[in-house]
Amino acid sequence: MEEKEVLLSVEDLSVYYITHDLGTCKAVNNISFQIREGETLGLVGETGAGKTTIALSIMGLLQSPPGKVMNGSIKYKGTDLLKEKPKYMRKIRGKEISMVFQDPMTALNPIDRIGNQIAEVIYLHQGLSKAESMEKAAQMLEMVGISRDRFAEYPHQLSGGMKQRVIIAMALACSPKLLLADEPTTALDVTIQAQVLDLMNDLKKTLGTAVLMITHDLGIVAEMCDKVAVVYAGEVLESGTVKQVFKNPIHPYTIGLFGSLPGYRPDSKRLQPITGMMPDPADLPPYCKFEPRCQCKCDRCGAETPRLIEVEEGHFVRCFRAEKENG
Amino acid sequence: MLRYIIKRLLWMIPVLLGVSILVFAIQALAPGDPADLALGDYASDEAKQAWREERGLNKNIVVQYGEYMYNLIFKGDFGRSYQTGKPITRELIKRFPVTLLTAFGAATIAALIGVPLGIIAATHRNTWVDSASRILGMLGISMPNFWFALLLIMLFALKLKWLPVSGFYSPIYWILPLMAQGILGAASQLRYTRSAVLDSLQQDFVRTARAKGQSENKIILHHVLRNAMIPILTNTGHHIAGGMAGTVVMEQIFSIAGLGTLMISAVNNRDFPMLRGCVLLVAFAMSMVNLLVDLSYTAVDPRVKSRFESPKRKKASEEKGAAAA
Repeated sequence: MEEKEVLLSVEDLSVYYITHDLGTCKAVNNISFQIREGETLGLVGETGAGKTTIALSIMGLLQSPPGKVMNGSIKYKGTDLLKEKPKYMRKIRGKEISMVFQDPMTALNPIDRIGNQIAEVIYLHQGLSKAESMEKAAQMLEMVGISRDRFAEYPHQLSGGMKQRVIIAMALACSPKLLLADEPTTALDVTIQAQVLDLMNDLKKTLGTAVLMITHDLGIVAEMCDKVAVVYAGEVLESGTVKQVFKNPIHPYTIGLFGSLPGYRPDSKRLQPITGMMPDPADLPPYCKFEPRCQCKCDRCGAETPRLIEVEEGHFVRCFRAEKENG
Repeated sequence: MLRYIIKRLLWMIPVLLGVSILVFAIQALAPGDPADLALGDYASDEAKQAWREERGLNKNIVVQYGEYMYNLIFKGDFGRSYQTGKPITRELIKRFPVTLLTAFGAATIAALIGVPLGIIAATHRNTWVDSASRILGMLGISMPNFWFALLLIMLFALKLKWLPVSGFYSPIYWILPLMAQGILGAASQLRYTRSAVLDSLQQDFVRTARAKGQSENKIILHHVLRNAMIPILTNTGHHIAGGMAGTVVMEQIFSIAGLGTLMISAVNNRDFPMLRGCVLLVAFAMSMVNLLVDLSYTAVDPRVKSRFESPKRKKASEEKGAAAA
């Protein structure tokens, strides 16, 4: 398969939330990943793993204070977004990179007509007149399967799934190169989830948009993504193509994630949850972050920090077990 | 919408009836004989008796109330003042616009000063701008209005001699009383606006707007402020309603011939019909202001509007929605 050009390259990114009363929360710790044009990367992890923080950092929408990017770079087409001025970021946001948020119930302005909310982003970036923007917005509504008759309706008149469609229409209105989808289906019920995912898959193909799919749902990764990165306590524990990671999961955490999926292994009747809780980001374990919950830890795990090791081409694992197996 | 307005107007009837009964009952219980005050201490008992007879005060209180309400509803007649003997309706018509002007004028000034400052304070949260406006707001809320009015008079009327001390004859006379009330009102308006805007700024749709690449100023004006309008409008309504009833002190200080001074003299002279007229008029005006505030919500928030839609239209629009889905 021919590899396309790198669109977004996140290198060594660390983001902390610095508060007076709760101490410093290390939300993202030295994370690196790349997204190529038209590619879909799944960012998988539990709640609190730092996934949303990563997306907000890329958008330049991290609330600061308390959020602060400590080090690293976010290169979009070679430009480091972290060094750019707010004015430049405003031009990029919505046009080149856009974002679909987790909760469609609150992400729309409750007192603005949905059509106008879509037209707003078109008017900002495409140099069209107000009327032309409105027309384009109506087309976008139809594209996500909502009749243009509903252009003048307000968010409270729509169901949750339709609201999420409106948000997707808004995010894709300017045909962005990169879409950050932050748990786009978590707030929706299962039948609607499937609809929204299908819609995103179709649009992704027609528009050629690269997607960073943030989710905790391995099923969505299997359906939507080309590559996957498993994130835990702000670190990548395992990454590779979906095929590599799903066929041959190596990190105990990744294996644990599959173990807690219902129906994945027909032979076992009970789910096998990963015991324990995600560590407090204000007080992370000093070495391997997963060590306290790990079923197969050894003495080294509590004394040294594991590095990402390439176990096969493009398949990286942050665990000493992988080191042993691969010499 | 029209149905809603009519419904609200009909609801005002029991409210006003209740107020009228209350006022009548209180004055029946109040100590002091109006005849004593009207005729003086040296009047003979017969004269007092005749005075009472003439005004129907010897009749049963229920009958008195019935006659009063009959005259009010069918003739628009509030009766005559005990003190001056003149028709009260005419006096109220003369005085009411003055009070209306001060109430609306002061509320407008309060909004014009308080809302922009509140927005600035909220968008510059935790900076010196915010702290300064919060201190000013605190000061404005804790300062007694008569004292602030006297300070203004001292500065602008006595020292600088820019403005007249008292009276209410032409727009130049309006400035000081409106300012005195308006600036203090601005303090509370500032605090309301600040918290409403802060609340609105925390909402997810603000982040969505930022994700579109919208500029911060447009986000504040288009998305945040409109969502913050309901508490701001409510507070403005309070200011207007408060201005109707609460100008007693201000009108005394600036010798304004409004409802406030009229009420004070009515109380002092046991001029019950006059007092009744004032109280009923103020109650009516307050109900109207409340109605206007509620109606203004519909202009800002479509969710409120849909609640006011008639059931028939609502059903139709729901069916349309279901069909489209």
